[in-house]
Amino acid sequence: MRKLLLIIFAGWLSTSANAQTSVGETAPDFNLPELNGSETVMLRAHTDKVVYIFFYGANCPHCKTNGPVTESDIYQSYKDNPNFLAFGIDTWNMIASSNNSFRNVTGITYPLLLNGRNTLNAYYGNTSSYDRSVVIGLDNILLYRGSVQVDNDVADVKSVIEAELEKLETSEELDRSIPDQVVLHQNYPNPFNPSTNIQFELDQTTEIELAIYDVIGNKLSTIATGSYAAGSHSVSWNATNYPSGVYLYRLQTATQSFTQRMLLVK
Amino acid sequence: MMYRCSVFAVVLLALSSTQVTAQVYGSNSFEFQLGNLPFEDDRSYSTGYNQTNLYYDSGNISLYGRFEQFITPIEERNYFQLTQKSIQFQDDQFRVRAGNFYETLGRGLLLRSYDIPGSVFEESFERTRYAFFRELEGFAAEYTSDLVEVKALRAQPLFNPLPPNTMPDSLRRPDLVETLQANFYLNDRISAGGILMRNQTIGSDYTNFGALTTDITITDNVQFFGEYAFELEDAFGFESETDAFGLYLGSNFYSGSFGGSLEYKSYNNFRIGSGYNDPPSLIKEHTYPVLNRSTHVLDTGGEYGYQFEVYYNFDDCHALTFNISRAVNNAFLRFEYIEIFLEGLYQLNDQLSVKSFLDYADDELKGEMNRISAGLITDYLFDNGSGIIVDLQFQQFERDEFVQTSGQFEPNTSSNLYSSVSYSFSSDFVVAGVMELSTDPQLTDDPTTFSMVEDETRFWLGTNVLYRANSTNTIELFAGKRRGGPACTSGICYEILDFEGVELRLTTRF
Repeated sequence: MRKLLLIIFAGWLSTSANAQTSVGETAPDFNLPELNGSETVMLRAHTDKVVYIFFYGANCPHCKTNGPVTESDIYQSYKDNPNFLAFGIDTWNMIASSNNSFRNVTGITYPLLLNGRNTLNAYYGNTSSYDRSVVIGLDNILLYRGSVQVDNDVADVKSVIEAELEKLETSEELDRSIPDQVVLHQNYPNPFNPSTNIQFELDQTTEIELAIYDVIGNKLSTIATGSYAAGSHSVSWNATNYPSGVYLYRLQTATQSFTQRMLLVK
Repeated sequence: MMYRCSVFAVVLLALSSTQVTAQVYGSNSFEFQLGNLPFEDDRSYSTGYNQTNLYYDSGNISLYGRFEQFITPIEERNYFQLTQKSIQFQDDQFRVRAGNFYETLGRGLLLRSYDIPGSVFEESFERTRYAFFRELEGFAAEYTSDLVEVKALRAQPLFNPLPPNTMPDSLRRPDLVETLQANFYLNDRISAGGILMRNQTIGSDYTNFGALTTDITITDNVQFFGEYAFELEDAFGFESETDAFGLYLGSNFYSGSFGGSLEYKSYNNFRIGSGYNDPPSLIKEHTYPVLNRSTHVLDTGGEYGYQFEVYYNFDDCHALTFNISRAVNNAFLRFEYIEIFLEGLYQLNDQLSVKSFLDYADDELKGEMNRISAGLITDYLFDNGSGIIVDLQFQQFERDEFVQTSGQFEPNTSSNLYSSVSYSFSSDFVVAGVMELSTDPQLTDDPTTFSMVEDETRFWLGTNVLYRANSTNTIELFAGKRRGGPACTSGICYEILDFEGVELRLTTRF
């Protein structure tokens, strides 16, 4: 009897899981019509943005009661950031009228996309996991895929969005700070007494030498030498021991040379 | 899988043949559809769904198994699974269960499982059909005496929106529940109890809950009951927006032919795990189609409200029922639902009875305001034992609809009509015709044509035939178009899909 019972209850059922996208993978692309718009929205057109997605069902009651938090706590927090986008995606494939009612009830102002049931399936491997938040980062990498209704993981979602926006902004600052060519700026102040600053920019990490010369070409001092990173650098020269007059300073890189003049007045 | 299920069946039969006192019994229902889900691509084909429930009883031991099979022309959607299996030991005081079982703690604020008999849920994406139930898989033990009832269980509730053929059974059970419940019968009129429960959802830490329950018979005709459930770290907070709690209070009373009930609810941030707790919704559940599908669905994330109902039974078999219910969703924005319902039953003579209802509702969450519903159901019994039922129901409501040309929301009035004529040749053979009409833009518009808004009145026309061949075999046939929408049974709401085609259901008990 006992053996028979063991046979009966041994093992659970095994079925194969549908494909879903994991965090860290490239988020599945979509190209969905926008509610009340004539265009479609494609995810791949926004590889340089942080994209927040609210998967909802237009007639789903808890999606309606939870929807406002995505507007107030998430979209309103980042809508002014040019690197942030938010979309709602209807996974019940309801008509525009139902989605307009959904927008009206929830007060959501970010774009709502229609006909997204296949998209939900691509992200979750099923079409039952709606009322979920998803965050997609740079290069459309899936950063966060919510497993609870959207009102329960707002803090987690915001944390992921903020980290990615910060990363993006840091990256942009770095991009902005790296010049596209080598520049040797005019010293400041000029004329000067007794010290001045010499600023130069490098477009890549390279070996340099920055040296001071008199007007007839004698090297007086080397004030910077060695490997310097791409970006902006500033070096000070103190001319206490030199007489008034015109001096030259020259920046020598591996492939280029730049020279400027400066005036010491005592 | 097929082998495993066959072994189960054979074992049950073998056991029954070797035990003189044992018995095997069960039921089978088979549903065949040839038809289409309207507005769905590539969905016009035949499907078959079969469910077999097998029971084996021998002394204190019971075994149970449920097999489900779904057959379509598309191989990867098909399945044949043993979706429930359980063993139970029970005597006068103890009950121990393992496998799949049903359990509700208190009044369901913390945990409620259910099986809606005969319901077949359809998931439209894969067009998969499966039984609609939420049971627990694990172990449970309970002890009952005159003074105390104690229950303990460790189990995983089913997340039933996921069909059985889409993912491993373990992923359809993302929550683990461990509970201990004790209920003390202090005297004939008062019982009180407590529940400790902890939940762990995949990828999360344990969350601890508690509950206090009571049931008091104040007088012979007045009863009070209530439950307060809460996340332990938020106990008795009430104030904070983030506190997780559920409060349910109710009272029943009667005096002669007059009776009624008054209930109050307040749920805040009280969605446990993937949502397996189903507290009382306190919204009247109607059997009238126009009202049943217009129901308010409880949101435990933030909702409070009440329900008050009174009835009076007249001496000549007439009856009146009045109900008012109000629910306010306040999780983020405030949405109010209020419904006032009046129903009358009139037994005009031995052959003719009439039932009528009048209902008014405002549903801000659905955007349906001034919703008025009315119905008249006439039941006439002929001398030869046959009978006819004529059912007419009408509903009208206002909802702001977005108008593309103006880019504005503008008021719009929509109507629904339900009508049916049912003729019963006898109680075993019934033929019915059902026609429904709707001008609701959310139903008339074709979701596959975004650029066009169809506003022609939509109609559904179908025929039902019921034939009970004998006490154990029933045949039901539907042909035509059937309107879907939300449906609620015993407080459980789910979505029924539109269907057009032919459906045959065979039900057998053995």
